[in-house]
Amino acid sequence: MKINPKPENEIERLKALEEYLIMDSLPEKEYDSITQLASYICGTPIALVSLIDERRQWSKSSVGLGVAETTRDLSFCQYAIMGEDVYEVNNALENELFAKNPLVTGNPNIRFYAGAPLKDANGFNLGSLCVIDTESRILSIEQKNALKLLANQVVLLLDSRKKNADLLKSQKEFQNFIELSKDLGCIANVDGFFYKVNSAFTDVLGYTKKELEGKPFIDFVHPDDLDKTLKEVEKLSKGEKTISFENRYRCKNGECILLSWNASPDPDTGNLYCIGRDITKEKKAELNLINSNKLLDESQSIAKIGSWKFDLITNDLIWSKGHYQIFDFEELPSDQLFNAYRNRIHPDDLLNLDKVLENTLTTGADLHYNHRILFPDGSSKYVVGIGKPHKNGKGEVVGIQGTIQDITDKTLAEQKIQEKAKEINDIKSALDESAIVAITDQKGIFSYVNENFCAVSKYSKEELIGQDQQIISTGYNSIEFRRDVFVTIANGNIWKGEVMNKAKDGSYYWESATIVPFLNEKGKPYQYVAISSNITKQKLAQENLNNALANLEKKNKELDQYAYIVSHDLKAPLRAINNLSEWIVEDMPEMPDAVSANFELLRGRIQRMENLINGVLEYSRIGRTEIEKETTDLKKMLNQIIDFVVPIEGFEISIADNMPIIETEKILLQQVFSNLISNSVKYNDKPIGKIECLYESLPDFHQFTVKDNGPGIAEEYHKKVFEVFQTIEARDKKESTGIGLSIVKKIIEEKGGSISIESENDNGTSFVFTLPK
Amino acid sequence: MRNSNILLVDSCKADFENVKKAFNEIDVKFTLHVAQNDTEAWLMLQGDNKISPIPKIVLIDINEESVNGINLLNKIRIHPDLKSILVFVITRTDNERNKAAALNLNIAGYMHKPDDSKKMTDFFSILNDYWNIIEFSSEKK
Amino acid sequence: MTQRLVNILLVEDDEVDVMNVKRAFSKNNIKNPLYVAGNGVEALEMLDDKIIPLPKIIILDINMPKMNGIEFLKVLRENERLKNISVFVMTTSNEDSDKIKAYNLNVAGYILKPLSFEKFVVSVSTLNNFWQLCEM
Repeated sequence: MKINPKPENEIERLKALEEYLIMDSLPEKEYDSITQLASYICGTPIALVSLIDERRQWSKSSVGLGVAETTRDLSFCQYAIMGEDVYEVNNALENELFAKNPLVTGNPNIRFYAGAPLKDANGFNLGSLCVIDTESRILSIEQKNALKLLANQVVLLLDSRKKNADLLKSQKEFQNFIELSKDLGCIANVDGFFYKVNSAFTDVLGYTKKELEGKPFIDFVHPDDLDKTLKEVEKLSKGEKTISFENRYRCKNGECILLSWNASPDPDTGNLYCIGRDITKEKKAELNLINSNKLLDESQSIAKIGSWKFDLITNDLIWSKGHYQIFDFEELPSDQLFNAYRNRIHPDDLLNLDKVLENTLTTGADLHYNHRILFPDGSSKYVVGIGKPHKNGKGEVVGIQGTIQDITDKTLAEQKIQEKAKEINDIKSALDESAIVAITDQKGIFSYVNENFCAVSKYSKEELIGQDQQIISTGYNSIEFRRDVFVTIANGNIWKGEVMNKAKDGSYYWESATIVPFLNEKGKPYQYVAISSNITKQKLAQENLNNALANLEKKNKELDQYAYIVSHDLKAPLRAINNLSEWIVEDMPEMPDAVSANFELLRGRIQRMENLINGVLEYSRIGRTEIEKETTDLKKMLNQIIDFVVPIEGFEISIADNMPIIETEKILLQQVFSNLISNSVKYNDKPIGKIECLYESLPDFHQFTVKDNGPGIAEEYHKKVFEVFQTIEARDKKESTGIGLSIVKKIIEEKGGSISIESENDNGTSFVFTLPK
Repeated sequence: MRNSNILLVDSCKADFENVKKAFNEIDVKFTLHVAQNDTEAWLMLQGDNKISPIPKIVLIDINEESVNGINLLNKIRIHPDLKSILVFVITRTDNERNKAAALNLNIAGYMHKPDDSKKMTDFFSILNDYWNIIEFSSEKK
Repeated sequence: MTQRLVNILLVEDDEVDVMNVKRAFSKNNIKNPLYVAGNGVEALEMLDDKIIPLPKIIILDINMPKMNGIEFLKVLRENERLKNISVFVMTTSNEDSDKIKAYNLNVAGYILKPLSFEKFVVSVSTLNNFWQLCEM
């Protein structure tokens, strides 16, 4: 045998030895009895139970040797553990392995050694039971057997010791386990009293063990949960092995906590073993989660937002409730959802959507998309979406997550705004096309002028923008006029009127302008928009017309004046001729009949001339003099006229009952009726002349008719009769100036009415005339 | 003259009854209005009781105590709307001062008032003939 | 009624019209002294220079050369000595404007000259009756 040998399984052996926790333990009498017995049986002064660890030999029990341990290299036992049998050294001095061993050469002067290995159940030789003598000797077979049996006894002792230690340890571990557990543990006896509670129980509930143990557990259950709890416990008596339930416990501090229980009865004792867990926080968290999910759904619904997640590995598509709402889908399984989704996207938008999606998948860029949703009923929605790709460790896109938003309302509103903007733009271009447009700020500085403005003012845009609008103003408009314009628009009112401006070349032009102030929130104008049309031509035309009218008026006046003077100048000699002729007749009483007849004719002609001249005067006077209006009872007036101009014999006159009382220039109307009625009388050719005066009230006019049964007037003369000096019959036949109807017409037209004739030859005449009300 | 008015200013009730009677008998076309004194007359010419249209002719009895005829005449002559009225003064007394004052104010005539009803009719008959031969303006003044 | 023979001045440019008045006077047996001026200027000269006795009545034509009736009337009314003379317009002018101007200058009457002498005689008779009523 070589020096200092090591068993093949040395490492495992050392480990096994350690597990026995024997090294350096206190002496035990069981081991000491064995060493004494071994010493006695073998007749050696020394016996040892020695154990060998890595470096030393340690004696658990020894007889006859003071030293408890020695280094392994000097140990005899190191050889004993190498085999199965008793290792015996009869005379150490003769054994080369020990001859020089200090234990041999010196104290205790070992000569004999015999050791039986302590082989445990696993076959590890932990040490040996050995006997030692200072004399050389040989053990008998019986002694050797006895030693082996004793060695076995030692191993049994070691095993028993080890088992004890294991039991204590596991007991301790279990205790720790129970005590350190955060779960609440308790044992309740069959009567429902707490028998044992763990630390967690006291920690969580806040009671001491004393306050709990021996008390009925129902005392600590929330009253509302008592029935439920008892019902659960009852299940156990019906044979259920375990029950799980939740109930609330009252803590010492008054709070309630929610506990989740698992309880099993011990079939032998009937005791209840219960493990509870405080799930107050979990419950709260769960509730919070539910609430926040609900909140999220509601928020999405309100915001018309939806979220989605697409797993490219599993092809799973997940939508939020909001997303479903936007698409108007009931919730669908993941495999059907994708197709349903694509079917609802507006076909025209699908290609573009695929393109941006492809881009995200290949480049990993964020996804931005928008499309329309086309619903089966033909309605549609506008949706905008954004997505973010998920990448794996290799940078490959494995999923996309994103949100969509229903922007239908916004889009439609924008479309409407665009339409309106276009409309406004159209109107603006139409306006620019047709009108002169300028915009100034509140100080009158041009900020915009259109082409027409430039064209009419002969300035370029560049010359006008930034300039005061005074640049085109003229001295023509009075200060009052300009102030009126300014006050009107500065007060936020629209000004309309005509204004004369000056172009760049100094020429003037007229505009019919509308100036609209645009007001800020305070109601103060911040800009003025002036829209005008060029009315220079109309103005000039108007001016020309006014001049022409003034000229005409002047001419007419001159003409009237002329007629007046001429008439007077004609009248004087005429009257002289008349007077002289009268005097001649008077002064020559013996005048021959023929001469006096001629004088009669002469005076007739003079009378006619006087009538003509009076007619001309009267005609020229119409419209020249202003006559006061007065309330006139026409029936009364007509009666007076008839009294005056119609002979009592030979005429039947009727005046309509509805002849009104009107406010009018009485004298003029009198003239009209007098002329018409006297004409009817003068020209009547029937035995009984009939004259009717009729009236009809038209919406804006009075209409009068003077109707007779006279000879009538042929249609070709209907116009002519109203012309001055026109008569139908020779003046000698019917004494007439031919001016009466001209006067009638002039009066009526001067007053804004009209006159016409309705007549068939030989069937009477109706003069119908109107006067404005 | 159609729809024209005459104002008689006379405080003697019996007299203006006579005048009325005379007007009826000779069928004067003017409408007769009577004022009992100058104040009343003025109100009828230019005040609350204004006669419309303004009378073309005013007859004033000037010798009555209560009628300050000259004052009324003066007021008529300086009023722009009234100054063209034709004024006749009728009197029973010979007061040269009144006469001169009235003539200076360009009355149309200064006349003695007839004593009885019969003479009154003759008097107004002549006056009416005169009114019928003279022209009045038809225009408003 | 005693005939008081007040002086009458006729301002008239037309010779036949002067004859007319004179003849009508004579037909109505009017004996008042009648003085004649051919126009306003002449009449004023006659009055101012006291060539004639101051008339109580002036018969005035309107359309006259040099100074027409209205212009004459204006001057007359501004003259203290002459302003109280009764003026009777006798004219062919039927113009309202002439009537207004005349009445504004307080003429005692505005008479249109009728075409026929016979009617004129009647008018002068009426006028004379009125004069008889008046104290001049």
